[in-house]
Amino acid sequence: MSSRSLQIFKLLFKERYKDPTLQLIIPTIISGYLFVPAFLIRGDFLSYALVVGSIPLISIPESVTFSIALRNIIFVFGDHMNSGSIVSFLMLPIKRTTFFLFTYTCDVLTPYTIWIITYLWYFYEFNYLNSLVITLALIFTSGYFFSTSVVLFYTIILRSSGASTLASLFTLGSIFIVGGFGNYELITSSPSALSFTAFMNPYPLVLAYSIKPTYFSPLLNYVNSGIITDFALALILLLISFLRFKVMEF
Amino acid sequence: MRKKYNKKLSKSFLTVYDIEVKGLIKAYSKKRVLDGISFTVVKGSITGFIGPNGAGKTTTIKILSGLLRRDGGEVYVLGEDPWDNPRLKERVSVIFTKLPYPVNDTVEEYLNDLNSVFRGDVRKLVKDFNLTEHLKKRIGQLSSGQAQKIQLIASLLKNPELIIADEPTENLDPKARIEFYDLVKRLNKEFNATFFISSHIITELERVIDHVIFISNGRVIAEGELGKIEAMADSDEVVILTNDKERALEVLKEFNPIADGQYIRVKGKMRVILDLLDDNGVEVLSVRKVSLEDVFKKFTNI
Repeated sequence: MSSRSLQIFKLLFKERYKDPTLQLIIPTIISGYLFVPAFLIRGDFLSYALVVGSIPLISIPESVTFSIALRNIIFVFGDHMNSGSIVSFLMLPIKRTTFFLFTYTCDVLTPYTIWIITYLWYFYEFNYLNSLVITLALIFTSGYFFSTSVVLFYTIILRSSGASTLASLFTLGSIFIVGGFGNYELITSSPSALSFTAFMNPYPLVLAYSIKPTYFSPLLNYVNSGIITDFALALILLLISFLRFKVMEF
Repeated sequence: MRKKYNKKLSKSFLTVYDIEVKGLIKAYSKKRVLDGISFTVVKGSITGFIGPNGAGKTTTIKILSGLLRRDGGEVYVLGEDPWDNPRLKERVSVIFTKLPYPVNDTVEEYLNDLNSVFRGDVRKLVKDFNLTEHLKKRIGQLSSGQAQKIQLIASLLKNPELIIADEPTENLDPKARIEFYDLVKRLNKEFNATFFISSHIITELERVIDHVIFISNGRVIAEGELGKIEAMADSDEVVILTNDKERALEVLKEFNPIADGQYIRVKGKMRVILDLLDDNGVEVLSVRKVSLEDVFKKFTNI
């Protein structure tokens, strides 16, 4: 990376993480993990408690991470596009591809990196870094990239902060809630269909597994297919967003 | 085709022209806002891009700045295609009607951020433009004149070869407008930067430009050196202000004079007209040849 590109990256990063943003985010994420031992203390329910504690909205670190990404995409990047101030950045000596990559790194990858480092570090220190913890990390990772790609897609297509916030929350909320109820039903009625629906909300599957690991272990295959589907959809939406941004006129 | 054209450009045009536009077409929802316009901007010139609102000036400038794509034709800025071209961004500055930057940043932050990329002498420029006391202000708190000065400073950080300005004085008061154009003249002289300035306020541009391009309804209707364009208008009209309008109209009857407010428009040899008024005891307070606005009206048949 040339020094000029590095300076432009610094500009973008500084704009999103002005003091004291990082000073607030990192301690909040770390302190959020304190709820994990609060659940884990319940003896026989270790795995179940771990899964419950990792569900977004219940898990503070995951919620904070997603909120920061949401803010960055809609209310920084999106706002620049809507207000026209993105012109200032497009007048800098940088290709649109690089600009998009820098923006994505600042908006999406940075919060994720903070989360994954603190998550793995916490469970490593807690001496509880097992396959379930890794599976939960993968579920959040795929869900996070899928969700942020949906938000980014709407932000670029709709070019309105309000509309993209509503559309993103409605889409993601619907997928998550319908997926949650649907997958719960499918676990008992028609598990094979989970191959197609697991991506919507894999938490009922992992919850079932955590209650009876031996009986529900086949469900983990569906969880894996859900993770792969989420990653694939995230990639497709990201690609569409990128291609759209590359030819966007301001 | 483009390669061939480029090669030709590199030999014949690139040393002379900073901007070359050929058959440029741009349409919004199938409505053509630029209908195959062609023009050139001479290196080192101050070129006025003049036309009424909705003529296609901003669209042209956005294409030249790489913010809009063209639907047809060819556009070369410093010999290169401006779309998504970072190399050009190092050599060309664009000044917009409004400073397009986050309003919550201070002037100091904005200029230092830009300077971290372009590494110009920001302190000297701020001092030269008498803006030191405004450094701590938020961009949103600046007056329009101050914001335009900030844009000028920002544009000079990269020591540009070409400065494109889109209606830069639109929101400025008369004093700020005069200051802005004085700066343009100074910068053109000191930095030898080419200026391409769009405006629909012709009278103020007339003071600084040496080349002009008239655009109307998405078509270029005239372009060239200011003097030549005025000559092309083929107007021997003189605008006179006298101490006795009625008497002057009487004296100049044979020239078919037209009263235009306090002024009189009359066609004929200036020397003859002035002598005639003088011989009849009419004092001439001011006299001028046809204005750029008149030339524009003539070309557009307004």
